[in-house]
Amino acid sequence: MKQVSTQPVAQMRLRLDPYSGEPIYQQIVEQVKYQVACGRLVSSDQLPSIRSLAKELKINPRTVVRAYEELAHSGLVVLRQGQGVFVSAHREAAPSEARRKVLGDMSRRLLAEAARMGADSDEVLQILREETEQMEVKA
Amino acid sequence: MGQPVIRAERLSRDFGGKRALDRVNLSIGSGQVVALLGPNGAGKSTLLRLLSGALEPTEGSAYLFGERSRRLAPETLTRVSVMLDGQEPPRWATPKRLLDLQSEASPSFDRSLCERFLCSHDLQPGTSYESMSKGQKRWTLAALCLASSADLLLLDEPAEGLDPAARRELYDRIRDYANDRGGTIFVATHLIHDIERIADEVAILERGRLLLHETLEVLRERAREVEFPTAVEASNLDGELDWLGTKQERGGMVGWILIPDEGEEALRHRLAPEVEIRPVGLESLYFAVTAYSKEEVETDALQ
Repeated sequence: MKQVSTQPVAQMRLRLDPYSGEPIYQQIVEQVKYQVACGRLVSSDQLPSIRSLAKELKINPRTVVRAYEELAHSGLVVLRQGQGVFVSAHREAAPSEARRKVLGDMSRRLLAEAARMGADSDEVLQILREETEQMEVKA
Repeated sequence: MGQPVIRAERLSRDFGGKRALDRVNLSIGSGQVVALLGPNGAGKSTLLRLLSGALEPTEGSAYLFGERSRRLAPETLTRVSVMLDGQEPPRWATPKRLLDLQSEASPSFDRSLCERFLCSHDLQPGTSYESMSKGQKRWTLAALCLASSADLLLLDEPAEGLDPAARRELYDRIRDYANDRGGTIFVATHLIHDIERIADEVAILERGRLLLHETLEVLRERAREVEFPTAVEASNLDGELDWLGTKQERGGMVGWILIPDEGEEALRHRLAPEVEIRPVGLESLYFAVTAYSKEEVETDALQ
């Protein structure tokens, strides 16, 4: 069994947008997933307590509970009674899987938006290539 | 979640034969910050005054913590703190005097917390109420409520006259009040953008009627603006969708709905590809809902 973590609680720096039309609990879920995917949160990191996160973000503690439960349900975190919420120990392949999923979600949104404007996937790919080149030039 | 903190049953009030509040049913649980929105004269202040027991209902009933508002037991009375329109301290009252009075009246009043609230706004203990700016007056009254040990705050336009920074601070304090002690706050306001950031639920009144009472998370998840290029397609869905409002626009129609249980994707499949579904903020929703109700009333009057 794992020992109780003695490291400090992870800083999450979540940015919520109460006006985006996306439920707050979902924004928390997405951003935690993203931070795990890009390695900012790693296995056995402790997430802030429900109370402290609610206080920091100025939201109802029940919204945090809902987000943490959803994250636990998807296996990304574990809730340990009386200890707190920790990022799960994933298998080796998990970070890239998580990354794949986050980028997949973002791509679907991009493609849906593009379709609404009448752009097909070729045009989107072309723009992605051009933007990549732009970034490389700047770098 | 136990019994509701606030409950109204067909709560109504007439003034001079005119109905100011019309059969309002409402239930609010503990730890919630609830925004009460509505145009001027919609009945917001009347509702708060009825709930606080300052007014007798013409019909129906108001309950706080399960007791009738007009007949609260003394212990229950100490669980409620109000900031109502037209209830102001005497002109000569200074913050120091107000703090003394409050400490005397309620032993559990957190005097040092209240002093900190006042200090952060440069309020000198000796300033008389009449010489305060409008914003300072509101801040003082709000601070007295927020430092009380009440479990329920009924606030009527607490942020009126406050500058943007003070408004933000006040709403942050309101959120903390709910989070730290499980307090319930029912707050009437016109500042939709400010309250949307921290509130859990919204109640919209118009012409004395409660048009909508919903959690903001549900609205974020399910309230959508739907734009139809022609009104015909919209009329096909008339009975099928839960309309919050509609508006004719440029040959087409814009409607506001709550996404049915089937979900947004399924709904999208049922609609023509030209129909646009987009998220909608509380402010747009407020305008949609109140304008829709007004239209209905006017149509009824014509018939």
